[in-house]
Amino acid sequence: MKHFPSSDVGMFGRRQWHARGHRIPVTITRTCIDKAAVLIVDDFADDEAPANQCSCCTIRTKLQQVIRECVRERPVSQLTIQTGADVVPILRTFVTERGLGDDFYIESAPPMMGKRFTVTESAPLSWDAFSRFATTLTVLRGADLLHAQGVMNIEGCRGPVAVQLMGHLAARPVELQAWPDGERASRLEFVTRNIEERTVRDLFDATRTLA
Amino acid sequence: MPDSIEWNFKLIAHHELEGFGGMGEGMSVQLAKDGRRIIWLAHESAPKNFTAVDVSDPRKPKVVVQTELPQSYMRSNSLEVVGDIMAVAYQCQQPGQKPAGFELFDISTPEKPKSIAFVDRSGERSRGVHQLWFCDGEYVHLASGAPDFVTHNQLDDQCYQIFDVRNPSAPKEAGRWWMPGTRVGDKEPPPPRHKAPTLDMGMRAHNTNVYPQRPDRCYLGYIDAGMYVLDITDKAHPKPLCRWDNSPPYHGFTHTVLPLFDRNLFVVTDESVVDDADDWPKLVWILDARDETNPVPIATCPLPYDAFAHAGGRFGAHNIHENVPLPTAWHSDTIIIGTFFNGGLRAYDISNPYQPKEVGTFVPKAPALAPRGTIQLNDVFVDERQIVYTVDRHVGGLYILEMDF
Repeated sequence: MKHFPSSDVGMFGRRQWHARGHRIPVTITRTCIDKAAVLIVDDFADDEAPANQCSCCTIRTKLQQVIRECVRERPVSQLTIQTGADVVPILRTFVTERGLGDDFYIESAPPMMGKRFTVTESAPLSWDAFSRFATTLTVLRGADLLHAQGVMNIEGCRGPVAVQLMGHLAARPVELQAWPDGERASRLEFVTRNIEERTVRDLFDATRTLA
Repeated sequence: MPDSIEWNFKLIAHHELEGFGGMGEGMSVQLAKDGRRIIWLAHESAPKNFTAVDVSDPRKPKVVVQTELPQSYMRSNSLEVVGDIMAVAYQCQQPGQKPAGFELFDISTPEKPKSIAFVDRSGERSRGVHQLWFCDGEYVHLASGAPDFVTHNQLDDQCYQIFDVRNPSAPKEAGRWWMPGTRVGDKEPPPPRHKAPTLDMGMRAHNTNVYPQRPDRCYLGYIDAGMYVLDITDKAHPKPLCRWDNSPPYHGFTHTVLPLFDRNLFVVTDESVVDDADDWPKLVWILDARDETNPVPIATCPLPYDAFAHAGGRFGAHNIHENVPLPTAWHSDTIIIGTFFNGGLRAYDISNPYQPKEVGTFVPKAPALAPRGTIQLNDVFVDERQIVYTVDRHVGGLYILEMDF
């Protein structure tokens, strides 16, 4: 806020204790568990999408409706989604829908099959550099970028910035109050398909150098 | 409505305060010399005066002392602690009753509070002290009647008063201010009143906040007259700098003015005082205070009227955590935490002051023997460990929580 600055507010809004902030944590699970709020979404994927809509768009609408109804009926402090279907459309729904993204946060999801590696960097980098790295990666190879999650050491930020990338999309960055283990270093874990660790690392270094 | 709601608050302890769990709006933390952390709590009404609870381990609160009021028609309601000195307000039900005023206690041994001084504010038209503010160890700022303060309307009987307690055994009045026109003898005409009987609550002082960032300002809630900012550079002659009044069309009972100095904002509450939300809307307001002489309302904190208004008892705003300028209090200018009677305890993120967003809710189930059949959370205090203490107005006692947002 231009007129009402606060020392508790950084580049990405109020610094949070957890990446989820106040948002309701969502667990996506493959197994049947007995929790207060369980949504079965398997059925949604079976619906036929209209000719001009992909299946994840169809899921998006139904998932939103079910969650809204569930929250309207009673106060919800956590949400569990049980599904046997592909979780990527569900994850995308939470990342792309502003309404859901404001209120819900994916706390855990079944591990995705892909190549896992972690990019680390101790030197701080500008948000512009990270943003360009993330944009290039998601634009060029979004289809093979299954998931990337971690904390970044961003210039001008007191705490670490929690980031999340998925396919062609990025979740809203959140600055945390403190570094989780005191080590002030960026670490970003990737789950990819057919993208070499070296390629990601080179892109990261190149954008950092050029920005 | 469900039994209880916990969203981003985690209840870690509940204490019924030995069966006397009807609590007022005085909550203050003492760090005792032996290392214990004691929270002092004012009762809402007789027979109890105040209760001290050892919250060194917030999961295991222990009552240290609980005291009695000398008269059944008294209420203490408000207290503040600075170091080992505690100031306690005494208000009576009817004008003329005694004792009415405030008392200073030495609480260096928490088990044995010792009276240092009693300041008599009783009078033919006085009910005594409803609320006090004491943070600097030097001055007590209070909403009180006085033997020589006579108003046209009895409801206007408590004005803003300043007492010098630098010698705590001999407090002396340093100054006072009242809304012009309310006192007999004022040259101004009496102010127009809100609609009687349920909405005419009086043009009198409520919270009297003064902060070290601006020791020359008093942020004053004045019930049906809205809020004032007073210049108290000369304590003997406070001068109003501005008045902001939302009523009518709202229904008055302006209670608290919390300044957020670094952000040029005021947070203002109107207390709900009628059951079943008959005086709705009673809200938490955010004011643009870049010009302290012309505060401008820019937002209110959202409340779920439909779910709570007719659930029993009061529903609407009341107290908020006031960033009390002491090392034992949490300070935030982005999170506002307030109590809303049956609406429970609610936290709002006001990092964008134009769009306050609720980020935490705690509504406990109705305590046993709750007269309205619901919780009626009355006051809240957050210590520097970010432990949240909140109290029920009628029977529920003390609830201790962690924030998780």
